[in-house]
Amino acid sequence: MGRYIAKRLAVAALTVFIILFVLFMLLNFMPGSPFNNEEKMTPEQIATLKAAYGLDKPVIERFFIYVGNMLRGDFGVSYNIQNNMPIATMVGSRLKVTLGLGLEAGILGAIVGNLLGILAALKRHTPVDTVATVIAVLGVSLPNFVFALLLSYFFGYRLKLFPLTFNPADPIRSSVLPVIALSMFTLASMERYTRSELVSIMDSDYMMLAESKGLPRRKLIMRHALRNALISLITVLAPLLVNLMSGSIVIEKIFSIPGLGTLYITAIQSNDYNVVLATSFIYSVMFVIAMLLVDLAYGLIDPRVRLAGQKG
Amino acid sequence: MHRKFEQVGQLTRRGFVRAAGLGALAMSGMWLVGCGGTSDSGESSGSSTSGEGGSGKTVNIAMSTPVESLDPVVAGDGTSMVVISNCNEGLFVTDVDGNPVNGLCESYEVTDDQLTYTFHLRDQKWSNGDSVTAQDFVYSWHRNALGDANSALFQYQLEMAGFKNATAVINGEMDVDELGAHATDDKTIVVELDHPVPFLFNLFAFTPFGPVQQAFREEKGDNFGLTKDDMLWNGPYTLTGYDTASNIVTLTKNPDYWDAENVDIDVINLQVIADTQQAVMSYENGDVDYVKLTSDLVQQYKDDPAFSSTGGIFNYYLMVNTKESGLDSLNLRQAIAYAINRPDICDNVLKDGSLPVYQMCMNGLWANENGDDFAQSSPQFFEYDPDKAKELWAAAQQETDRREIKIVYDQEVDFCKSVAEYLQSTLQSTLEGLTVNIESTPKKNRIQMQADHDYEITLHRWGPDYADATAILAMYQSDDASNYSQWNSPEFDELYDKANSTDAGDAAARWDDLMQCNSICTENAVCIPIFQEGLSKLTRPTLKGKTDHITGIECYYKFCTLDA
Repeated sequence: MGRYIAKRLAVAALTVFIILFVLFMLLNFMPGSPFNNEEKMTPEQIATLKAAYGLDKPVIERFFIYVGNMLRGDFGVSYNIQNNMPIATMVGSRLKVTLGLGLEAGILGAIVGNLLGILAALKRHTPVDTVATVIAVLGVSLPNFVFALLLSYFFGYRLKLFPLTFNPADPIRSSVLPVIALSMFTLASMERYTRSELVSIMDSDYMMLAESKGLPRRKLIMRHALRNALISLITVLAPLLVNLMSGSIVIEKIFSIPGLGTLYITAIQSNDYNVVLATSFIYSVMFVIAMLLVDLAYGLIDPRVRLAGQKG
Repeated sequence: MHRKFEQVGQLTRRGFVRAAGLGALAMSGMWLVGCGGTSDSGESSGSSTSGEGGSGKTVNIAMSTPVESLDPVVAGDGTSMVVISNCNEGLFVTDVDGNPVNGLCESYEVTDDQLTYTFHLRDQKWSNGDSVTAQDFVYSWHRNALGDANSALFQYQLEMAGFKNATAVINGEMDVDELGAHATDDKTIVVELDHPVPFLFNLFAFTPFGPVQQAFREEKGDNFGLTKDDMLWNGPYTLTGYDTASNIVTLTKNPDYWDAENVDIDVINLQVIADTQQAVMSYENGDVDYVKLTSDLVQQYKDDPAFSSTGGIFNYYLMVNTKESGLDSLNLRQAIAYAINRPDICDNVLKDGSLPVYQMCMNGLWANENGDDFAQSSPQFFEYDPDKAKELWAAAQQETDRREIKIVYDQEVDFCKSVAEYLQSTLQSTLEGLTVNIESTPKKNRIQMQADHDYEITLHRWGPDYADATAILAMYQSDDASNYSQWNSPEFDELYDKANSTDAGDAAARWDDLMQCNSICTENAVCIPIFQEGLSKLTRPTLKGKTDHITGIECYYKFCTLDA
């Protein structure tokens, strides 16, 4: 197992390195300088600035300098979004906001989605099942900004229950609307998955056996059906969580959330190289770790996978 | 064996699920606590309504972009400049009408040749209790000249201000002490100019001319200007709430400000709201008191008493590369200029209060002592005339084989696409036989294409940095770095130089020189003016004096009042 994890980590590190390299090269081909107001600067001034930030060196040399600094925890400074601000400070504080909202949305989506899925499976072919299915279909098919706008309009503007824009001084109240909007896709996916898992388990042979042994229905569902259905959900939830945590650009814009998603887009448009690199690095690491955890979780949950892996 | 394995598996599985669940909840809780901990960024936000709040009179202003920097020579965006200029006062500020009035300058003398100014400072403390001195101003101008903090953003402003030896110092050919600005004692600054600069005090009201205390700047090192604790303030307001991960910037009235008794509003919250629709709903809810509108909302609110519309900062033009074959034809360029129905674009495409323009400068840029607006007083060219356009196009076809042009526009700005499509359609239908291709590109790329002269025509925008026609006309000088059209005219150059040398001290002659310059480059259709971007907004009627100056600082809140 240890060797397997070490191998996976090595592959992950290589993947992130390759991503960084490709990105670095692509950014190098982007037209224009990373500096603000460049149209009012002389070519000499732009050249001086490039030299000051080490951008006049050959691209390969810059790449290795960047990686070297990065390994020491220095991600450089922002060139234009927040001038001269160390990237670690700038991205770190936004990452906290994005991760927090993503995590809340993930938990909300998972819990509510599961409950709905369980209800739908237990009350199969009843109006409850139909309502849960409609919610799931809407949640999966409508983009989350539609929910964001609807929630803003009714609960923010009409009923004035929650702030329309995110306020770091009042994180609980101002998180409510974005978290709900953000959680809709997870909620819907979880509902559909839980329902189908539970339905297939309920129809399985071992459940019939347990039922024929005269186990009470409550025990049957709680101990045998639900546990087996829920545990396998982790594998679905992990990638969904990462998606949420990488931030929804649209939700961040609508609620003016100072998160990572909007920063990423701004950085790409304004050639703020270091911000693009650091943000991409964080996203890549998050995805790679999530995939690793999913693989490991499979092994933990389903012994057959691990056994097969060991034999292989 | 199997049983043992199963047990281990079960335990691990349970532990795993438990740990994952607890971990997620703990992280989520930590985040909530963490966010609560950063609340110094928005002390009175959320209370929202204007009027007498817990901390006195509070105004909430919706801004579309966040703060870039707090360093006066680094910050290049509107939001940062508003913050810095309201907290770090310079020698002058601009009043509600856009006229420079004394800030930290108590009085001044000027020599008859208008080349030497002596400024006397009033008593004012920095937020650390030290006095603001003449040396603080000179040091600030030196660091601008030297490109401190790796910023060359405003070096040219020292040249525009006419500071003696500015160009040589900036180019490193002269020591910074040779710059025409000296502190003769703690309260006196002497500024020597190369030539008279009629708009000098307007420039002095601009962010990069504000003072910086040398000892503090050196103590802070690379952190200078990064956070609210890495700056000193001396103005009518102090920055009390600003966090890199916050969308609210709070300015609080400075009780130690020299004119504090005339500052009416106690707290200004600048709230970054990226989505205009949300900003407008926040206005309707009473959460913000001022919001700029996009064109889709202008139609909805144009009859609202809180609605007003003025000309914005940017003029949009068709910048023509006159060195491209065929585009050197004046007939072709003028044919394009006459074929554009500007009012139609403003009223039916943009619908946001944009104004048609028929010369290079924007309305409200600059007025003479009689109050005449330069743009409106200038001769106007290219009023929509499809017949004349056709005639000129026929003549152009005799001169050149060019039957196809390409217009490049910025992909980031929504309305640029609509304008480009309109131009494509109208030019193709009016100038029969001309094919117009349009192409979007990132703004950075468009600027690079212009700088490399690798383009035919771009939908170009330009905004002034100070209240004078030279802020717009400078780029048409033959040797200017921003002369993207590659057009040159000895007549233009001569008049422009005259305006800034022999006629610099004679306001009327200078006005005439620049008006001729304006006409020459407009008539040559090297950069065809189309419209001045509209600035439409909703302002709470109780908030008075909220300005949107198109040059310098958008608004000095010390001149604003809030009715109870």
